[in-house]
Amino acid sequence: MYAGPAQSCARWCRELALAGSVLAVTCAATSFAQDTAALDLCGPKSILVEPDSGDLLVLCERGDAVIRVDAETGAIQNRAATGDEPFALCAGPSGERLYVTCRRGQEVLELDAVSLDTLRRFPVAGDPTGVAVSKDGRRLFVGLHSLDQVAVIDLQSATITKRLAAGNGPQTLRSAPNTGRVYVTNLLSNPTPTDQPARNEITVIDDSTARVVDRIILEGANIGRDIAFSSDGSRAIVAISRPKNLVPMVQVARGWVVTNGFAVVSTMGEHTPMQFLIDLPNKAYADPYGVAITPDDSKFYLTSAGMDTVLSIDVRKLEHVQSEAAGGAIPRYQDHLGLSRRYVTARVGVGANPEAVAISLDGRHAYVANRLDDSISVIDTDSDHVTRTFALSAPRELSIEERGERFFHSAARTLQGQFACASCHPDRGFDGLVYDLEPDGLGMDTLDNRNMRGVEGTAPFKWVGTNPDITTQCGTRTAKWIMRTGWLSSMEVVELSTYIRSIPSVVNPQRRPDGRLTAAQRRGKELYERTTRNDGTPLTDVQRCDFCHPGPKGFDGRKFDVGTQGSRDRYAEFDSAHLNGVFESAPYLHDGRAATLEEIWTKYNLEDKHGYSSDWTKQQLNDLVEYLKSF
Amino acid sequence: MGKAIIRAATILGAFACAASAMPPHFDTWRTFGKADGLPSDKILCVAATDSAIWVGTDKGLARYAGGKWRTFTPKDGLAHLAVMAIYEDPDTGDLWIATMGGLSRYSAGRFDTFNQLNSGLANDVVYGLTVRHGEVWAATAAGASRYEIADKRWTIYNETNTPMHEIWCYSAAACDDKIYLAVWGGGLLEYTRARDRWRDYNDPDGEMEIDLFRNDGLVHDVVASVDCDDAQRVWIATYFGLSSYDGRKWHNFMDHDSPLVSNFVNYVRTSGTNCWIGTDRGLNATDRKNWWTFQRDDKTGRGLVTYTPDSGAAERVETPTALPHNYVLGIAFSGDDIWVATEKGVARGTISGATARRAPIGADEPRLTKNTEAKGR
Repeated sequence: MYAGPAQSCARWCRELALAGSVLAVTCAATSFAQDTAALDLCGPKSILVEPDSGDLLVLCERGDAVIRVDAETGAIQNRAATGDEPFALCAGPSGERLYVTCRRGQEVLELDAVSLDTLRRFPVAGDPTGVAVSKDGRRLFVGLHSLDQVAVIDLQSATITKRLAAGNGPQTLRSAPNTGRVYVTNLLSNPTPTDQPARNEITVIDDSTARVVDRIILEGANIGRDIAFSSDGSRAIVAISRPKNLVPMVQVARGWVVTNGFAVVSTMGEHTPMQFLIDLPNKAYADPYGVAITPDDSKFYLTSAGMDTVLSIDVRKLEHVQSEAAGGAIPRYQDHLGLSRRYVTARVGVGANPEAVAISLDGRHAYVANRLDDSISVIDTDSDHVTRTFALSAPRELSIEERGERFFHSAARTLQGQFACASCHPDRGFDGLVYDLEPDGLGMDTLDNRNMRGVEGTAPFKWVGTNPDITTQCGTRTAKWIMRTGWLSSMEVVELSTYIRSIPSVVNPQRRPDGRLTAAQRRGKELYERTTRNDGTPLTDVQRCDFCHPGPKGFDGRKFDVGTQGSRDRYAEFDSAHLNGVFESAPYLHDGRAATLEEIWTKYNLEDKHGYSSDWTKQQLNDLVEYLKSF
Repeated sequence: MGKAIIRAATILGAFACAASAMPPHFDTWRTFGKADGLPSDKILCVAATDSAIWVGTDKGLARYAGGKWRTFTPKDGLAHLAVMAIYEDPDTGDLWIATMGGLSRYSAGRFDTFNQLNSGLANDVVYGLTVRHGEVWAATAAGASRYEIADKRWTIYNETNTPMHEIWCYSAAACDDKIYLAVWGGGLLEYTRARDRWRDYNDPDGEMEIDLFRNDGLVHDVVASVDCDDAQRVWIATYFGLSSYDGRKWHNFMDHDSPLVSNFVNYVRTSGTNCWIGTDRGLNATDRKNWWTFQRDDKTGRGLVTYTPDSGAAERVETPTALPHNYVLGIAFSGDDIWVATEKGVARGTISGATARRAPIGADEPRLTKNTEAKGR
């Protein structure tokens, strides 16, 4: 535990090194919180600079708290509990209220901006993520990741007045200055055919009418994270990845699986957004996450959460490149690995898993939230050096699970730092893409990326079920074929698999809180468990849903031929996939050919090999889908 | 002298409309068709939003904004070329589009398609729809589908769980807490959301050509369209006359006992407490007492507007412009204008106040024949 301000960092390091422990904080130039409010655990997820004081409001994802941090000293001035797994934080227009979304808590909190006391709670099912307040302070916009919607909450009546169709997995919501619009980034691509590039959407909402007025498509992009605006609101920077999933993954060996960058979006007029990379030819900066622009618009900072780095990008230099690219002088500029040297002026090492970044009111400092370090790195924006690090929790030994979490989110062990586990399993889930994963021939055995949430107890793994446990799935095989680094220590495998097994299922909005099924779900369950056809003819074992998908997670652990072997599939039998969280994990089947649950049977079960479905009425199919969504 | 009469008629007409909120007297029509940029002259439906006019044709969806038409087809993501109905979600502004190949949602440039293969939609042939309370109600050839937007949940209503003895649904309308379905051959179905209850209304006598006991119920079971006015009256288009129902009493209108221009009623659309009626012989409007009829004289290409007051003699005005065709399939309102979908183009009706000729209806006046034959569609 935290031992007091007099204890020196050097002594800590020495003592703990002797004990063979791993420190949760960076020791060099670290300041520790100097009051009694130090946290056991923080996980800084979001930072807001208070407009009057310049203090930092930090959302602690793992500590379920919001804290106020003195921007000069790093001292925690006060703290308040939030709901479970707070995700995003924003301030109301008057500055008197703060709003916090809590993903697992399924709620939005209204806080007093001074005392941080919770004033009101708004229940919002569907995995609430980003949040923004309308200019008049009357409405709250809340991203619902699981439902691909933005809920509009009337703050006077405290009710959800409407749901707006967003992109795939709303992530960050921010009001653009002077535009009267709220921009919503989306984690995943809009649904596309599995052999087509990703299309990530930025959903634009009119603040006054609370209607979607534009959908900006980022061609070839996925994993939309943070968005920041220039001071006049005319330009936005969005953190994105550019997956190369259509290229066979034998390309891993050649260093080209996913590239990382940002999109420049004009908020005025009709301009095609431009995308640029932050990677170098032989070194990637995985998982672009947080973005912050300096008040004078001269530079912006972009975190690489997978490489524990913050990139400083010179706006004027970028504009030159932009101008050349727009004029056609740089072919395929969006995939050009040689460009980032021209506008990335510094690559600043920070703590583990930096996600959020914010700029001080005077523009002199960038504050970086190192989520898995429980610290804030302070970067001097003139020199682009880390000048201080604020520890937000007391130093302690990391648990096996925490070390696994670091591994999961770090790209450092992957060839050229291209990606972390979290790059393809963002937010501990899935990226919605189909990959040609192994060097078994071009286009052979393309596979849908599976959801990591609630994966514990669903062995075996791989679509062909050849890996009996997570340790095998994420061990040598991963190191050899995916990370291309060839080796993981036994301890690392244990740590990683321990973490993966700890990933909880998402809170399912399709399931009633009391666990009772709806009438349609009950009917669907009857169909799921039926032993005879509608005409009374007995079904064979494999014609029943619950034979291959038994139990609370709906899986069997065996392989079955459900008639989905394609012309480029080597295997006909596939793992009976677990159904946990299946409502949110489209596309479906081993190669992602089914865009929706319905299509599994309406388009891809013509021979009744994936259960006997020929006699189903449309109503029965609907009921079954409702039941499946309750897993 | 002639000009003076025209002026007087216009002023009187306008005054009468204003005084009693009667249907306005549209006297100028502009037609849009293929030559103007529409994908087809065969217009199946029309809808107006704050920023655009949307037209459904047999060859795609068209948007009229800023004086220009733009066409959307399946290449743009539309579910099917044939667009049967269009409805704007009053909350979100999203456009829901009923097609012969499923349901599309058009939201800020993006089409999302829901069909019987990729969603819980009952059937790909969607004739009509309405959106209210965060729910989309789609009238399909195999019953009705309700899509709850918040939970992405589909429910099918057909002969198994409603009094629907026919499942060919043609139209849907929301009226306060009720949803009405027009069922072709199955009469009118009423769903009360709060009670989760269905009720059906059918023609008590089952006769086509006559209403055996007047105003005893729905005029006929072949129902093509339904809408609800501001007085919570339900208007029902059948192929054998027009019905209205205020929750207690029925009031039926046929061509032999009212100024309804034809018993073959394709479409009803309310505006305030008025009902506009699209038939195979032209366009009617009524407040249940006074009637307007808008027709095209195919011989002259001019318009004939007949005003039949609650009491007194009918009067006719001839207008230099007219609907492009008397077969009317859809009606929408945009500001002070009316948009009418017809067999040969969509027409925009405006009020200019300048009419060509007005005279009492006499034996020598041009008179269009009425049609009482049943026609399938």
